[in-house]
Amino acid sequence: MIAAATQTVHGPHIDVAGLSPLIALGGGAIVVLLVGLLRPRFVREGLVPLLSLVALGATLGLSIWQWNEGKSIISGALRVDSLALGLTALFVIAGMLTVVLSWRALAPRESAHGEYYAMLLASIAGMSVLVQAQNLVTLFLGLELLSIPLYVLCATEMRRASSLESGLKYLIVGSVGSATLLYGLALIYGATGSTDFAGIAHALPKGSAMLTDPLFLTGMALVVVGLAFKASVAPFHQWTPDVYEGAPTPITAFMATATKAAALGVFIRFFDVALINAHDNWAPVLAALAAVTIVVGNVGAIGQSSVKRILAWSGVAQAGYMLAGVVVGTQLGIQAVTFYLAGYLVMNIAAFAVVVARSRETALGDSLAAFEGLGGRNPFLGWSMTIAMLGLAGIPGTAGFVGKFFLIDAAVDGDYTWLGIVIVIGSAISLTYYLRIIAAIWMKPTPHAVPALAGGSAEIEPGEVPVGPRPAGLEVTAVAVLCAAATIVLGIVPGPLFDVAKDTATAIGHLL
Amino acid sequence: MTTAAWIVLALPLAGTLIISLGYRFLGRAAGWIGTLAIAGSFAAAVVTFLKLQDQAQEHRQVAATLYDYANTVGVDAKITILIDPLSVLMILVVTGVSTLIHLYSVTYMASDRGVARYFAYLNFFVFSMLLLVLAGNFFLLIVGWAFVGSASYLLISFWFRRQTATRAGMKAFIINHVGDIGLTLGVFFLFKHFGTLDYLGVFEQAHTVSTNNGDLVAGMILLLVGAFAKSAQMPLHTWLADAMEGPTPVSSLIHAATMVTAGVYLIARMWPLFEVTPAAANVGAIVGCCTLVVAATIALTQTDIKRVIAYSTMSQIGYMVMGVSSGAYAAGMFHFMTHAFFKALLFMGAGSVIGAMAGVQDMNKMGGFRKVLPFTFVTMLIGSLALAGIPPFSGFFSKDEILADVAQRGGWHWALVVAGYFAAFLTAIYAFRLMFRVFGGKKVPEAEELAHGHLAHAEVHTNPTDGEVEDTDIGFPGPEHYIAERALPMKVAMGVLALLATIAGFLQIPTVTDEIHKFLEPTFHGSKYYDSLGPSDSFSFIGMAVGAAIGLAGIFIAWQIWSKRPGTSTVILNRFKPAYTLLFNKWYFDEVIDYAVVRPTAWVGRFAQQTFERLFINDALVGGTSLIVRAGSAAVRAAQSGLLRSYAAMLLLGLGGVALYFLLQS
Repeated sequence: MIAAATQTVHGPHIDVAGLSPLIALGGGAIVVLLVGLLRPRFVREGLVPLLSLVALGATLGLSIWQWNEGKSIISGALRVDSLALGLTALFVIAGMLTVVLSWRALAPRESAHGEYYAMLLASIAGMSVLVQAQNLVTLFLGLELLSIPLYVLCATEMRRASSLESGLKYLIVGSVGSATLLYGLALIYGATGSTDFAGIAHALPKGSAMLTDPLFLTGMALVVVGLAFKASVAPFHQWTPDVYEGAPTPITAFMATATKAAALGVFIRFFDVALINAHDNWAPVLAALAAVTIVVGNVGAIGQSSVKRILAWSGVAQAGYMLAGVVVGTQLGIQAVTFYLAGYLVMNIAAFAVVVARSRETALGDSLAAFEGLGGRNPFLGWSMTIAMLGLAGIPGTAGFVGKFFLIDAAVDGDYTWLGIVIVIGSAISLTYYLRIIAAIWMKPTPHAVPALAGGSAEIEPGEVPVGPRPAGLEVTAVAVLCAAATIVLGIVPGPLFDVAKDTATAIGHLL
Repeated sequence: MTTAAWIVLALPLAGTLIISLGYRFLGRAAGWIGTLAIAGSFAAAVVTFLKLQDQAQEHRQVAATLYDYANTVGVDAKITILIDPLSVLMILVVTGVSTLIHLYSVTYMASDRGVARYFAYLNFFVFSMLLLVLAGNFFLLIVGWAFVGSASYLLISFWFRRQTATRAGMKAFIINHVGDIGLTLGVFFLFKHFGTLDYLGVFEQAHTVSTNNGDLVAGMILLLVGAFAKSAQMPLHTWLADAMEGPTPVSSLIHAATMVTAGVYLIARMWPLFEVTPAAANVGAIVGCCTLVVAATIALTQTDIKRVIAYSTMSQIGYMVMGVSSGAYAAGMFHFMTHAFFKALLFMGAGSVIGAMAGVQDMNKMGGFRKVLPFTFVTMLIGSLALAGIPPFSGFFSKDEILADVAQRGGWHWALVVAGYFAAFLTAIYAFRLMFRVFGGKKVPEAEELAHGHLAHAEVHTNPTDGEVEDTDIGFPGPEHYIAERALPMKVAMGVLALLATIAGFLQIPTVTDEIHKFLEPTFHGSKYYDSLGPSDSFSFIGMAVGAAIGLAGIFIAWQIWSKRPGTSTVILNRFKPAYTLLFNKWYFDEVIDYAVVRPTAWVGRFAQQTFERLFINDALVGGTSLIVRAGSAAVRAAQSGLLRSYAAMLLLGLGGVALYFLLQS
């Protein structure tokens, strides 16, 4: 009888191949956590980052392997298609560069190497789940899996008060954001009776009465706010500068690139799949938010003296640019967003790598003064930062130009010409602070005045930069140069990446 | 074949990158790396040429695409080059002459503190120029066009601590930018008309357009504005004389042999369009003719050796522009080639003379260098004979062919021919005025010193333009001067060019060889002028005889005035004082432009600044905007209190706003 029962009861079918990128990330996190418990120094400081890189590399390989499958797994909870995998590849690349930047950083030493890298991997797994999500539950699950490790990672430089402050702030404000999102998801479920994206879309045929249902509309408002918070869209962006400034710089780089990509990915997933028939309802709101974000981000960056804060504000503005691609709800928009995300990743990581290098080399930290006269002394870092800034500003010949061009093209094509104009005006304002950094690098002499540091000698020779805790390390310069080179290459030969972006957009096949 | 053409482009770019990245370690090796890169590029150009000749006649127009840059909003911007006889002729001359000038520069710039920067710029220039001539669509053409402009700016202002040089650089850049705007706007017209940026696509449709279609004529005239600015044609020519502030090899390469002929190339390249817009083509022919006469008269009176040659360049380019605008394509391109040889040679010789004079460029202070600079003398003599159009030197064949071809158009074109012959007469006079004044007469102290084996050396280095005292640090010319007699690289470069200036004319002797005409045939296939303009044999030979006689007469007069009877020039000068003053001041073009354009603009600017701008723009718009931005910035920062409760409050406030909007729809 038992034999008969085992024959008739089949276990659920598990598509291991489809799950493999997630398995690699999760398994990698566990292995890294366990190996981190070993005592030898080289294991903790060498092997653990290396294993993290291996796990990320495996994820990248498996994602490429699964590229053309385009299937739903776990009873339709996740969807493995080119959009999800393309974005996963972006997270993984950002993760790898973060691992390299963290290799000799303070944060993993102060927390514990195993925990630090394991949480990084877990966060990437969360992002991957988030952009694969096909129902409300996995969406929220992914969001929390992405957020909770990040709350902790922000606070890993635990001897520095501002790092702890950053983590705590992110946790509390982030919880408000998550709660808002969850409330919204619940209301949408209540209104449509389905947690499935496809089911929600089915319950919302064009012109249905549901589109004027207060319950559904409130749910949508709450979801917009919750996701906007994650993507640091104004006016829900206020945590961004504080958290970015306080967090360890490699983590800031990771948040600025990967988290933003994940948040925009889920915007595309949720709004362009589940709520596409409510496009007329949500598009004006997102467009207004995008415009506000562009203005607030660019205006806020003016007058900042910390480069990390400038980059945080610039990240807010950039989120606004990319939101324009979501607003239009077309294939062209998705292409533009994924292309811009990739370009934004290399430009931002190049900038943050230089920040990492400077805050290690000088005691000036990430203040603008640390960059003065950098071009003459270290042309590699100087040029990398310059290219990154020009790219973020959208100067021709860089990935940023091509990306912005496509975004504006998408906006105009989707009848949001005014949003394209806002992007252009925003870029014009943005030059104010991007060029300020470039001017500091090339046109200012090396700073003479030394800030009073505890224990610092009072008489440092004029012309000497105050020396920082330790040398930058070759790997940091390498990351900066690599990303800057990628910025240029993608700006001159955008074709291949654009083909990939086109491919990812086909995953949302029902759009124009 | 296409691979070789891509290598032609890639090598100068590689040279630029290597030199600019390694400037700290390379030092003087930069010169050799630069020279090698361009020499390699020349070799690849030769391979391209040979492979092109292997193709059948009708397959000699090949477009090769490297990759698609962007295909969106109806514009397909591809990285495409077009390999055909016209572009191959251009790349052969550009890379060939560039190689020689790089070689010359290796010595000439040896003591300059910025030598690596110099070669990085020079390689960048060659890359840009090759991009311009190889471009297979308007998109790359504009890129190359703007790149050569910036390379020219960088090299004119190369001695950046010289006020005169930086001002000249700015002048050149601004005037060239006027041309860039013309070119770009013109391309918009073409795009509107043909819906593609591809050369071949546009040319295919060209014959479907009715003659003198209004907006196409406007577009072509805008393209001509670009061509005039780049090729220093009236009234956009004033920058070229000031461009002589750059190092002499730069004047030789960019402001004589290559870049300034880009306009000629552009007109020749656009022949299918100019043939359906004769109104625009006539503008080109007339402007070219005016320039060639005016520039020749100015050259008669200038005393700065480089500026004489610069005005001569304008005048000679005037011939080319007149030729290609009148349908004499092969003759125009032929003259471009021979001119590149003899004009580069003349500049190199001038560089050698300036070296012997320890940096002085004023011809009033020169004389008697014939015996002490024998090599420079002989090569410059060859160059001057070619310039004056004396058989059998190259300029003789090319200039006379342009005039003979233009004459075939008949009608008012005869006026152009007469003007051309008149200017040829002036050309011979000013060319040999230069020769007699520099090499003839009594030896000046510098020449005496050289006769005793010492190269003159300036005690105090001064700017040749305004006499300001300067040092020899970076940003100024180096302390040493060089003459061709004592430097092998300079000698080789000048020797090769002298040989070419002598024999290049034999490529196209009417009825005998006609090689250039045959070679360019595939590019100009279908042109209504290309074959029909061929003058009859007797006409050609009469024209050549007249040209030779005029040239010889000019030399004779120059000999009478400046060698046989010294002092004649002063007498003439005093008798025709007003005319002399007019010419000496370059027909007051600078002043006219200053009064007609610069000052009114500045006046309007000042007026507008005081009334409109200060009140409306500054106070209301700029002040308002920046007030808003600043207030916004302050508000954003004020909101950024760092307090969690206010952040949460803002989040809820924002949520309230969004929810309100959504609920209003219910």
